[in-house]
Amino acid sequence: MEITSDADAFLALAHLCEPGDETINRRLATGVSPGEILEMLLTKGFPQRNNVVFSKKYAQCDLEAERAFAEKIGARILTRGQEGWPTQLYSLGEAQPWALWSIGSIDFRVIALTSVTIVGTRACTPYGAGIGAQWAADLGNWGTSVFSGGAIGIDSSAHKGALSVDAPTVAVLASGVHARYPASHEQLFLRIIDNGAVVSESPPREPAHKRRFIYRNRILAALTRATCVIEATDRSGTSSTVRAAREMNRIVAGVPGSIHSPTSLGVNKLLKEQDVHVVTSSADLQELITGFNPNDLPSRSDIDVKDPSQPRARWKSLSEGDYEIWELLPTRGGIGLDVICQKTGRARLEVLARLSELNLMGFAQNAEGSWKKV
Amino acid sequence: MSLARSWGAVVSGVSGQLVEVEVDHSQGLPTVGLVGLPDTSVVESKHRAKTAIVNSGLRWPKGRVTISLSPAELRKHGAGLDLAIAMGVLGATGQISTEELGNTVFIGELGLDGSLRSVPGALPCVIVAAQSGIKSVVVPRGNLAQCQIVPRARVVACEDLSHVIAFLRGERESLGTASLEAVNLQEPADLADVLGQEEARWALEVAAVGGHNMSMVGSPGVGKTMLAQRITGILPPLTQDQVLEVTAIHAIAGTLRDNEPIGIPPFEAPHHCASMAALVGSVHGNRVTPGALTRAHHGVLFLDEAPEFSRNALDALRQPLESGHISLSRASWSGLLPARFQLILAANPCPCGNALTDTVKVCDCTSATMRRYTTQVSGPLRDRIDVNVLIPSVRSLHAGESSHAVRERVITARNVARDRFAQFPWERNSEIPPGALRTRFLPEPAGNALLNNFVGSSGGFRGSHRVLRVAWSIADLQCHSRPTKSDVALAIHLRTSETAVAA
Repeated sequence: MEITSDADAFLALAHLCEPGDETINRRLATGVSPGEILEMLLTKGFPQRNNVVFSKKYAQCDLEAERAFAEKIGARILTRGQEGWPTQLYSLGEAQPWALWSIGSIDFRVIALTSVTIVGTRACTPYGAGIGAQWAADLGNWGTSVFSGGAIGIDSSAHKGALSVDAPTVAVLASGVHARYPASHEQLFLRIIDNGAVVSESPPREPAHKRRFIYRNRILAALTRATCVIEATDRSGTSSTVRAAREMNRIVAGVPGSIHSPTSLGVNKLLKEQDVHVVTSSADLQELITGFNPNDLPSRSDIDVKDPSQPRARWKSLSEGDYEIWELLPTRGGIGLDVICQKTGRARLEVLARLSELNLMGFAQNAEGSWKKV
Repeated sequence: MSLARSWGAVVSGVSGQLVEVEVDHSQGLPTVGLVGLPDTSVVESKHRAKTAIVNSGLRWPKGRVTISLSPAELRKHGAGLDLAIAMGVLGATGQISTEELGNTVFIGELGLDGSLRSVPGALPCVIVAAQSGIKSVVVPRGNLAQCQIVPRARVVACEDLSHVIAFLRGERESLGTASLEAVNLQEPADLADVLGQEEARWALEVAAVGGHNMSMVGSPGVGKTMLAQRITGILPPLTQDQVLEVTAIHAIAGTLRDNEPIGIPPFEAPHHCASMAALVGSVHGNRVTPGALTRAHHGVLFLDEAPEFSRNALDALRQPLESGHISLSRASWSGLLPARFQLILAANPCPCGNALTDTVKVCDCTSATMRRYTTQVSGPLRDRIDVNVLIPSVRSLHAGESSHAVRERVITARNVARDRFAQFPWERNSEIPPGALRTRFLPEPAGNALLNNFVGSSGGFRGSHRVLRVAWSIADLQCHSRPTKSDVALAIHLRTSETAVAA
């Protein structure tokens, strides 16, 4: 392998070392060139590192072939310092990535200028998934793009929300951009590629493994202007994203949840910290990022024809019996069928039939056997 | 006379097959040759037959005896040919007249003392004998009860070889005959044992009326298994044809209780470690052992802890659910096994079982295990389940109606449906074909509007057909002449309430 430039050297490092290698980054910060770093790695210039193993890996690495492969799968390679490198990544200091691969239809560096990272637990509740999807759609309408990790739960709801209004969205992956993880989201990733980008600091064919998820989080935090946590359990992977964002003085926001909900414990705890913003609407979040409240400005959704089937505007159309039941339903939590029967004095099957109709018309919702308003 | 013929029968696949036994007695060394593809159990017949004849005070011929089983290309198994072989030998040696042999099929295993022992699979043999027009069938005493249900068959039960000969000579009568009332109508457990759970009981009733497949999701201990076990108590008893069909299957499978015919719909509840062969049936040579799906024919297949079943096992349900039979293909045998059953699934809401409980117990399943668990029952299978109930923890301790009262309602509703379908080839609401649903069996206009709304929102056309079938069952229970808006709404609720867990 022939190293002729810094770009080559960084690309080699990205292939040969795990992401986020602080020892190497510290040396780089002292003015050593990446080519010299490679030399040192090959010749025992780094204590506690096995230069023999490294030399073997080095000899097997073929940068030309890797570049050709990236071109074949349509991936763009960016290396540190090169033109087009997202400069906001410099804030990561000793944890900077060496290179990034991206596949997509847009330049993620440009849309990252007004963007927010939406993160949260994979085991989200309908509460979190609903917020993720709705807010991502709202933000998309207001021109803010949503970055996330492409995982199940909050991540995918945010991506889907943005895609639902044809807004660009970016997934930063822990795996390579060709071995996209999780595989069950392949359809989602393809839509993201069509309308945004998938990005990774690992070479395209690398699988995701545990440490890489944590390192991936710091890139999300660094790329975007703000990080918003929607739902997080007490010990959640989102904490590493939040930590990175705070270390870089990025905006950190959280969506409060019920104090009884285990999936909101982590966010509620986070919201007690001083520099964390409480956001309770998508407009709040947009205002944090852009400084303008979108409700004061004309927006895409105002120009679009309002959906006439919004249920809240329609409740007057309900029949008297349906209304009586609808009115009883709480907006949060839910009540059982027995309680509704008792309060209305109506027969069980009649109430169930009316509830089913309300459900169908988008007025009521059945969650785990109890009913609530939508 | 040194050549004689007698008739026996064996089970081939899942039906009986008459076997002609030819016996020739000639001069030569004293040997017994048995030809016609006998398997080991049939080869051993000659020893049992010989000893039984001698020990019954009759004579086994000196010289060479050749026994041929025909059709020769059919592989024969089981001890049921013992009696036919013995009778052939007795005929060939002139100990009984050959005319008496020609009009009778002999079925049974012989003991060394000449006693006649019951065999599995006697019923399909009697059915084929009756179809072929042979006058009477001799069976062991233990097989009498099940074989008597065959119409147009004269079934004679004997206790030993001497009894058979005495019967053929008109000297002794058949053993006592059981009457058709003896059909096993033993009541399963009573629905009144289930406390509270009104919604689930109602759903069970709807499922029973139309023969709809059902799924129950609830935490451990809420009564899913209790409810499922009680469904056979609220289903109408089997018709005479069904009794015959079901009893024959269980006779072949060797699962008849006390060798009695089955009168109420069978209830099969295989354990979740069941292998594929245990579910769909297995083949050894040309011997078919019906699996749990076939044993549940005209009855109920209950899969408790459904997500614990292997994915293969669950997907094997799809063909029978659609077509009512399993097409089993093995190297040595292939054919159709009947399997028109009503499926009932029960599952916990998550692997730890606590996802639906209130505040005391907390679900500690990870998202990945939850996902694996809830997707174990595949979409296509889920789509075939029309009645879904979430069973909450027991709230009221109110004892409900007895199975008897519910069964009366179910039978009334079924009769209404049967009258409605009098000119059609189906009987139950779950069997209405889509074309007929769209043209002849539409709900009231308001209900139809609701149904169209459902199609648009999420259900799809196929989903709407399934909803409509359930709506007919609900309407039949409520004595509505066609489904009202409320019936359709309830059916939609039953179809969609399972998605409330997945969220």
